[in-house]
Amino acid sequence: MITKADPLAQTLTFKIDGKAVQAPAGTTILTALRSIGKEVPTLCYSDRMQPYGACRTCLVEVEGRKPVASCHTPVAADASYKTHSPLLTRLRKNITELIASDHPLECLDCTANGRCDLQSLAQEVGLRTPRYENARTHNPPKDDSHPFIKLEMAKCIGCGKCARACDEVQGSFILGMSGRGYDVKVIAGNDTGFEKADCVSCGQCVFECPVAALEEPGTRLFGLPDTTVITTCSYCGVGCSLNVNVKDGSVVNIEPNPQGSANLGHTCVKGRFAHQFAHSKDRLHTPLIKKPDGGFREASWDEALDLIATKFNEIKKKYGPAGFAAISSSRCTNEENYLMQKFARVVMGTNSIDNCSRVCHSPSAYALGQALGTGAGTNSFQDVAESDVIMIVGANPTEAHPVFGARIKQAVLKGCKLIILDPRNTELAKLSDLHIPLRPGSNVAVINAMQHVLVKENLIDPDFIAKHTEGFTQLKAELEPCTPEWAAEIAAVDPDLIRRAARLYASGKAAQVLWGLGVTEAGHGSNAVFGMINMAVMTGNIGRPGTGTNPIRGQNNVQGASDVGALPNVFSDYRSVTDPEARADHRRVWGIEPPSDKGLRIPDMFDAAHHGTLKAMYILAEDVAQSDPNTTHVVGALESLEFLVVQEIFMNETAKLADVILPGTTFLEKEGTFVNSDRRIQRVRQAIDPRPGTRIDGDIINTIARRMGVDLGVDAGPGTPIDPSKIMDELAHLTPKWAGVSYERLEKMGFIQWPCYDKDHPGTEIVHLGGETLRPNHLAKLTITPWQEPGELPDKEYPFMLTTGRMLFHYNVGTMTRRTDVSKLDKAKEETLRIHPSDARKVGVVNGELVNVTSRRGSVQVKAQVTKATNPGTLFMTFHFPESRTNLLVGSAVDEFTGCPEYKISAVRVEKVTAAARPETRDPADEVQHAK
Amino acid sequence: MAWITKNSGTMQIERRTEPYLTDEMKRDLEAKVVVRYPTRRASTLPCLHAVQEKYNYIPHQAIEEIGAFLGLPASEVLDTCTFYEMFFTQPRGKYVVWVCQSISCELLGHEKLMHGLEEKLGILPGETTPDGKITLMHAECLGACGGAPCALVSETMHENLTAENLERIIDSLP
Ligand code: SF4
Ligand code: SF4
Ligand code: SF4
Ligand code: FES
Ligand code: FES
Repeated sequence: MITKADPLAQTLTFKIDGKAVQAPAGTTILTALRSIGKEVPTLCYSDRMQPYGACRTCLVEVEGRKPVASCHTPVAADASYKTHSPLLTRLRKNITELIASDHPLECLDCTANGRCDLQSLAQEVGLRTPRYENARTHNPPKDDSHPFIKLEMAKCIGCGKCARACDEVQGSFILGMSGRGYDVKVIAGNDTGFEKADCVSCGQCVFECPVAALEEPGTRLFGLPDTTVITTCSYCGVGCSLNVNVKDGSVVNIEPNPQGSANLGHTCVKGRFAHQFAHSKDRLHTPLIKKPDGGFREASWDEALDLIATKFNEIKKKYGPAGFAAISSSRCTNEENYLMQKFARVVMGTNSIDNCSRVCHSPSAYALGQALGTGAGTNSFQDVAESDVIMIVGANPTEAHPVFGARIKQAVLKGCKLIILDPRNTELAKLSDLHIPLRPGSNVAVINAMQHVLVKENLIDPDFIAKHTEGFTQLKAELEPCTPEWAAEIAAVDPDLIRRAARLYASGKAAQVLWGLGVTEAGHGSNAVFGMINMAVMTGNIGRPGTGTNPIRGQNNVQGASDVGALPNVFSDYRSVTDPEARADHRRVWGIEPPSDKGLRIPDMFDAAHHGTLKAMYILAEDVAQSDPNTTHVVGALESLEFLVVQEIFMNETAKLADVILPGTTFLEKEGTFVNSDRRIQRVRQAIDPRPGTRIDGDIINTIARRMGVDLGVDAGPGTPIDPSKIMDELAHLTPKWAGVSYERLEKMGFIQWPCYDKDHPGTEIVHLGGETLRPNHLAKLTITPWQEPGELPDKEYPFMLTTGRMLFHYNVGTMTRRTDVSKLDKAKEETLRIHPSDARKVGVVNGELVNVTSRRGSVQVKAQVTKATNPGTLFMTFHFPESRTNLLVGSAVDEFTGCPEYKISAVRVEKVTAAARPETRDPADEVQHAK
Repeated sequence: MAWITKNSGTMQIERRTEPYLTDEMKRDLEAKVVVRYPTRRASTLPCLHAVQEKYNYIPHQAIEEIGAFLGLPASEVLDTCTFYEMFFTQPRGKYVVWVCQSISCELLGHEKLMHGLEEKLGILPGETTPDGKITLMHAECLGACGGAPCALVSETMHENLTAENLERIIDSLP
């Protein structure tokens, strides 16, 4: 539950167990007693939900009054409370006895044995067999329909926590309690079972259930875990803190960490259930070297590493720095990314290092950096609770960033206004106050028109503009012709909608803009981001709680990979490689003159390979042949290389093209840090040993450097493992905004949000506080954003716009998620083309029929899913299923400033596959081997 | 009991294309009920009543239709529906006989009444006669303790019952 402390509340003084305590009015007795380290039993209370007061086990004595339930009774001035007494124990025992009279007493046979709240309560109050005749004459049925959420009603104590978790934490409103008395039963949807009720499988109901009525079957046979390791999820930019339960060296299950600062004890289906890939039989378990015939042979680590070292040295000598480029991975840790860019710059002497944020959020980092002086979001996740207007552009957080999506949903349900700019009819769009279903690629036009309205109708904050910005006069002139009518034409929407959206945005006391890949991958992304920043700055919505401009970043560590300098043009902290001061710092620490070549960005790398100037690449955990746009071009580039090293956990399309494949490790097997979407640096901790034959990615990079004769200074001598905390110290030393970050502090504080300038700095929740930006002159720059057509438009031959994205149950190209239990879910089984009913009628296909989707670049076959979730004229596919090769269709137009590709828009046509042309049916789930 | 449904999770909802909550009913509810409350959710009970009045029970499909009409998840409508004994999610007889089993009635022989009916009709509480005429139900205190033992036959209250006069009452039902 997200509640704000009321700063004006009066402070009350009262006594708990004889001790004087102070707390603001409105604090519950439970919160107060916990704050002084006292405890009372609770069954129906959870920190994450509103108090419910159903079980009465949390009773406390109040002097001169009857006992009250502490979880929902506010403290009273001068009252005196007792948490334990013979009377309370007697009452609690009676309550427990009543509950237990309708509960099977078969603890030995129960999953929750040893971690059941009812069991511990019975122990605490000394209850043996209840005196009441066991009333369980009814036999409530089990619900076994869901692959990993099981409901055993006989054990339910009717506390309602599951239903409240689904409503108040997840916001899916799937569960209810039907019936009364002994017949109370938990229902999913219309009592059709979880999956049919559209459960998103977040597992929160299971986590909250105090008994084993809701359980994960995985845990049944393992008993209690040996250890619980706190780490950070590797599936998306929310950065949920996870408790990984480990037994005998294997992951038993993963639960949300209730103390997690980003997730507040919540996770989505991926973080919670999609971990079996780490134990998958398909994991690469030995280095592989390409044979002359094109196949691979197994090789020892020594052989592989020596080969790489020799080859890299050769390439460097023969072709100089231009012959080599590296792609780092936003799935790896900050330390590994730092090491990778250090490898490229120090060992290979080139700035040609890039990471996949190129293909997602580089426009965000670029525009934020230019306009506000730092390449990251301005505010924090918790700020959504402070906003009264939220505008979301081109993002579908309830699917792509589920935990954050759920938070936004809760805020909206509590009355925050919501504006959505999205061609798709997303879950949040349905909930919004205003949805502009703009044509894909028209973001800039609509955002310009919104700015036009802000200026025209004088909805701006002139004082703020005068004091904190530059460039307004020019912007104002540029916006003049951008009327809503003009934009409406381009975006195919009602101009009035644009006007109303601008007014609604300006009406907020604290308005924030959030955006996703629908902005940055949809053509002229940088301009769209500039435009949104303009809106925020003009209305003074920056530098205060609940305001700001915040990208929701895709992969878990895209923010970090860029922050630490795995980019061609900058060192860590986005300090330009041409900045003399930054160069001097690096020269001092690295002991060499940093390279001064103009490094290649990812798309340039492929071009350079085609031109024959780039000869060798080192690709870390990034399936570029699958996930990059224009697959054919990329594969051709990689094929033309003289030498390609790929470091991966599973065989994939890119690895198949490699000369040497090195088996890396998953986030569960290593130490390090990730940075999430709101600049939160959090620890990644090793939960299990690296699988046999694999090595920790940072160690691999370091060993290659060692064998090439270079000491990167991150180990304790040749042959020793890297020390991630040492890397962090070096990184902090070279990164002014991270200067106060160290493992020691992270351990103590749990997380640090950068900027964190020194060892006493608490980190920064809100950047640009008071409107003072981090640019050298502390002014925000208002940037003009001329409208340009996207690279590709629909025409007669290709009449539809295809946009791509992700869905809840999978991650990126699915290599990980599809090797987990999550792929057992009906909705996660195969790729479909989402098409609006009216378009489906035009093309003559019905739901489930096979269609050919063809763009100027290629054609794929996929099943049609007729749905109103997209608008007429717009089609949607994900990129999670390699066999459907969505990216074959995508064009190679790029953002003019950052080279970010236009993944989100390609013109396509759709044709029904005739019976004769139908390929053999294949079930993608068949290809997935499940871990034991 | 009214809320006993088939097995959890495996329940198949029989569906028909024609909605139970017809456009006409919606218009009517909208004009007469929904307008009277500050939130749409507050109209859940009247909607359930309207459906039960028309079909003599509340099919599961109608639960979803009411949810869509009021903007509520199906689980919430079913949750509410099953909380009240008077709502039936399975078809019920033309008449429902509610035999009170609370204290006064229990002391004055509710069991005899119930057994008499069970034998006469050949069904147990919660069941319906094969001809679809009568559904037999236990009830908690009907608020007529002075006239215990008592039973409610559809909407009519009968007090001071014996097995014999209750039987007569049942026989006289058209
Ligand atoms: S798993 Fe999540 S969405 Fe599904 S019922 Fe439980 S809380 Fe609701
Ligand atoms: S299933 Fe668990 S959480 Fe839900 S009501 Fe029953 S005991 Fe409570
Ligand atoms: S995928 Fe994202 S939202 Fe889901 S658990 Fe991981 S970090 Fe949290
Ligand atoms: S914990 Fe307070 S009533 Fe259940
Ligand atoms: S006990 Fe039967 S009517 Fe009250």
